[in-house]
Parts: sequence; structure tokens; C-alpha cells
Amino acid sequence: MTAGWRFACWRVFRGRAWWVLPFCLLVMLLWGNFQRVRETTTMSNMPEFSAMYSLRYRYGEVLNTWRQQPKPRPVLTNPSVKQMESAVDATDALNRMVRLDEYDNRAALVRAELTMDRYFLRQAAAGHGHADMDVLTLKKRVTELVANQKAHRTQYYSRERRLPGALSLARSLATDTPSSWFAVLFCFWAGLFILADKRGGARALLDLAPVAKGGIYWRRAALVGGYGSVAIVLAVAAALGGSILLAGTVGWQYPLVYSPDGSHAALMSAGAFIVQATCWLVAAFLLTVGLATVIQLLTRQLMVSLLALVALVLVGSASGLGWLPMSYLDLPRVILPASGYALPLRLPAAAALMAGCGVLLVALGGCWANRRQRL
Amino acid sequence: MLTCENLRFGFRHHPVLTDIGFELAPGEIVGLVAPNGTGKSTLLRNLTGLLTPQAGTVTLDGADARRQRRAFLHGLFFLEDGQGLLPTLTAREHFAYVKAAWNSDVGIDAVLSALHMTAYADKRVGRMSLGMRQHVLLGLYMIADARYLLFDEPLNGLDPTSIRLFTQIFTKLKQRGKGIIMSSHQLGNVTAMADRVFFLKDTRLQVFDAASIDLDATYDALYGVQEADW
Repeated sequence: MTAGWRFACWRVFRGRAWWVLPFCLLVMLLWGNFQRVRETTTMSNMPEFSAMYSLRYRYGEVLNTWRQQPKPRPVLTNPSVKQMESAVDATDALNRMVRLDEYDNRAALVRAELTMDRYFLRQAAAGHGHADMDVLTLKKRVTELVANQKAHRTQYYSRERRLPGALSLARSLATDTPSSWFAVLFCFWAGLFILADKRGGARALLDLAPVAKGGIYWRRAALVGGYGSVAIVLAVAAALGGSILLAGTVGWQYPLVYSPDGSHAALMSAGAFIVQATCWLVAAFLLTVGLATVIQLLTRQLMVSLLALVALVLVGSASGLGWLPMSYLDLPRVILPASGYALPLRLPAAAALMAGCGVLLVALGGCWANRRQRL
Repeated sequence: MLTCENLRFGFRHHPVLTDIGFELAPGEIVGLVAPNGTGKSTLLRNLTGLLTPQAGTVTLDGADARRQRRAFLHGLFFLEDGQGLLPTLTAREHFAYVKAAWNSDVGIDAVLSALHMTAYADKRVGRMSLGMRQHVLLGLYMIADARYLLFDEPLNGLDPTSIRLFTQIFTKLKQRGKGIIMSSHQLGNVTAMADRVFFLKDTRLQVFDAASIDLDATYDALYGVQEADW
């Protein structure tokens, strides 16, 4: 190992900062579990049934008003009285199952829910939709229910606590932990490491050394990027292992439903999602390292650099521009779009774009530093 | 030869250095003397390129400080104070880095022994006292073995024994042909070692042969202490 690499290793792995990334990442990945443990949710409080209750209440009110008239007469409504009565009967039947039977007869519950959702889907497709139950939401629910019924799998609702390990981690990544948390963690951790060369007096020893200044950046970015990528993979593996141990089941094949085009529903297994999310995390991290390397060439103020980095990442992730690599820093939008997406790339192209841009930015930063021979 | 010509520098509308020009020959020690806040450290930072002069040039054996940066830096060593050391690294690791960067032949163990640092060579700098850090700092200058060495208050925080040791080291460095600029408040030590003395007064440099002046009297004449109105 050359003196330059040895020195870069000393600087990265001395102190306590190196374990902050995997530790914080682990906490964030398990955040969903903490949230679920905190809540005490019964089946009747699942969001999947809330729209049904609201529909039941609305139709019930309309039917009661109609029945209380002195002389009920057929009226032209959309949906018709008959359809409303049918819907109320279906929801009442399902409601009884939900309230009486929390876990013991889940298969029957799923069958009843599927029947009802199919009915609502037909209604919605015929133009008798309901605000809380648009066609796409119903399609996604029906697709998931059908897949689970075919595979004789237990249906797990959104707020359930007792989830298989892989499904628990996948839901944490997809819904419970905002992508911006990952972005901010990466900005502060990688940013501080990359920007450390600019801090106060420590700068002089590096700045006045008769060595290629780009080499200092390249080695540092390579070490931070390499270590960070390994730490991310290990943290995801540890979170997955921990979740599986706690749950006692894996649930690798449990389907997650998404909509690639805003009109169709598609399924992805929890395992495939976790693998893709890990790739996304690594690519997002490499992009952050690249951005930090370039930004620190523009200013020597640590806080200015960090704030600029965070702003660039957060604003970029919300921009929605297909050609901008920062647009892909929104995990669910890239891997599991809920109702279509405006971004032209999905994995693995999106991850390749982010990682490639990160590496390119590091190379550019190094060339720039080499040219001006200053940090 | 370290050559500085017409160097000018200021912070916004506050000039600090005006028309600074001098030459430093190998084997020469120059004392840089001025009260606090006059611009000694600013001058040293301008000479090394840590600050960018508004005008003027600095060259080292013909290599320009900005255009031929690596050649320029190879002949020079400057680290302002112990704050410039990396707190998570040990003295030995600092020495190893500087030895490799400056491509020096000086042995690490020889320097550790000469500065009586063997006992704390593997201690992290962040856990060292001010005096220990000053020893590490001087050790880096010895390890780098650059032709020109710029010191900023190298005797700060040292006990009398260490000051004597440091003075001996400076004399040996001079004997080995190193050109040295040393800023210091301690006039006695400057008198003992320096060939010339640079006084920084009203943003300009005044140069004297150390042997031809009474340093204390000249200092008083230039920066006479006003009676405290308190």
C-alpha cells in the first residue's frame, strides 16, 4: 500500500465517525418496526377498510333518508338504490368478519374483501366510483389479494405488527422511512469526510504537501465511497436478518403492489424490492460523495458546503427532471411508484445513472484540484 | 533562493502587507519580528500560497509559487502551529506521511530520538499537550528536509529545556544549509540565531543585520510601548 493510500485510510478509519453511517442506517431501516410496535392497531383500524366504512356510512345515510320518506318511491340515482343496498349488504358482511375475526380465519376475510373490492372495481369502472376508492387503488388491491389467494399466502394489511421479516423491511423502506432521511444522512456523513480536508489548520498539512492534490481527493472519495457502499449492504443485511429473527418468518415472496404507468397494477416480491432498494441506496450514496467532492472545491466554509449539498440533494430529488441524477433520490418513486411516475428511468438504469454521475463528479473534482494544485 | 517581490495583500479595505520584497539564501536564518496583529502570520501564509497575494510574486529557486506549485512546495515546509496536526493520527504517522510526501531520506526514529519523543511517538496528537505538539511540529520540519523552512512562533508553549533543545536544532538546520524564516516574540532567541531581522511596521518590511543592531532598542524605537491609560 502506498503512503498516500495508507494516509487516506488512517484519516477515514481513525476516530468514531466510520461506524456512524451503518448505525444510523440500521436505526432508519428498523424505524418502521419501532413505529409499528408503538401503535396498537386492530383490524378495524386498517386503512384498507376505512374507505369501505366511509362508503357504508354515506350510502347508509342516503338510504335512511330515502326510507324515512312517507311513501318511498323509486328514484333515479347514480348509483341506484338497488346498487347502494347491495353495496351496504356487502360492506356489512365484511364488517362483521373484520370485527369478529381478527386473525383466525384470514382466508375467509380475504375472500370476502376480494369479492367486495371486485364489486367496487366494477362499479368504479362503470363510472360509479367513489372518491376514496379510485380505479387504480382498487386494481392494486385486487391484484395483491388475487396473488396472495392464489399462492395461499396470508394477507398482511398495512398497519399490521406481526409481519414476516423481509416484508417488514420492505415496508419500512417503501413507506415508513422517507427517502429524504437517507439523503440527509449521506450528505452529512460523506460530506463531513470529504470536506474535512478544508477545515481550518488541518488544511495546511495537505495543501502544502508537494503531491498531486487530485490524488488526495480520489483516494479519499474512493475510500469513503467503497466503505460506505459495503456499510450500506451490511446494514441492510443486518436489518433484514434482525427482522427475520424477530418475526420468525421470511416472507421473501410476499407481493408489493405498484403502478408503473398510472393505470395498471403490477407486483414485485418483497425480496426483489429489498435487493433493488439496496442498489438504490448504494447509488444514492455514491452520487452524494461525488456532489460533496465537487462542492468542496467551490467553498472552504464547512457549513456553507454542507448546506449547499443538502439543498442540492433535497431540491434535486423533488425536481422530477428525468436527466437530473438527483431526481432519482426518491426511493418509492423510482422502484415502487404508487400511481405512475414521470421519471424516464427505473432500476437498474436509474442506479447506474446516479452511481456513474457520482464517479464522474469525483473524477472531475480530482482533475480540477490537480490543475489548480489547491484543496 | 526564496525570493519575494512587490508582494501586496489586504483584507477587504484593510491593507496588511505593502511592497514586501526580500531574498532568503540557503543557510540563512531570518527573524520576523512584530507585535501581535501586525501581519507576521499573514506574510508567511502569503509566501506559501495559503493566502493569495493581491500583487507580487514568490519564487523558490526559480519555481513560481502558483504556476510551478509542486516544485515550489517540494523545497518548502510550513505548518503554522499544532492546530495544523491531525488529531486522530500519532506523531509517527505524521512523520511517515511527511517523509513520503517530501520524498525525504531523514529517518523517523532518528528524529524521534533527537527530540526525545520516543515515549509518545505512538500517542494520538489529539491527546498531546501543547509542548508535545510543538515537538511533533518541529519533528515534521526535520523529517521534511525541505530547503526552506518557515516557522511561526515555534517556541510557544515550551519550557526552558525544550527552548534550548529547539535552539540547538535550528542551529543544526542552518548548518545543513536550510534557509529559515522564523517569526517570534522572544527577541533574545532571535538575536542568538538570526543573521537578519525583518521588522514588519505599517504594512512594510524593514530589514536589519542582526549583528549590527541592538534588537531591543530597535524594537522599542519601532513599536515603543505606550503608557497604559487605565
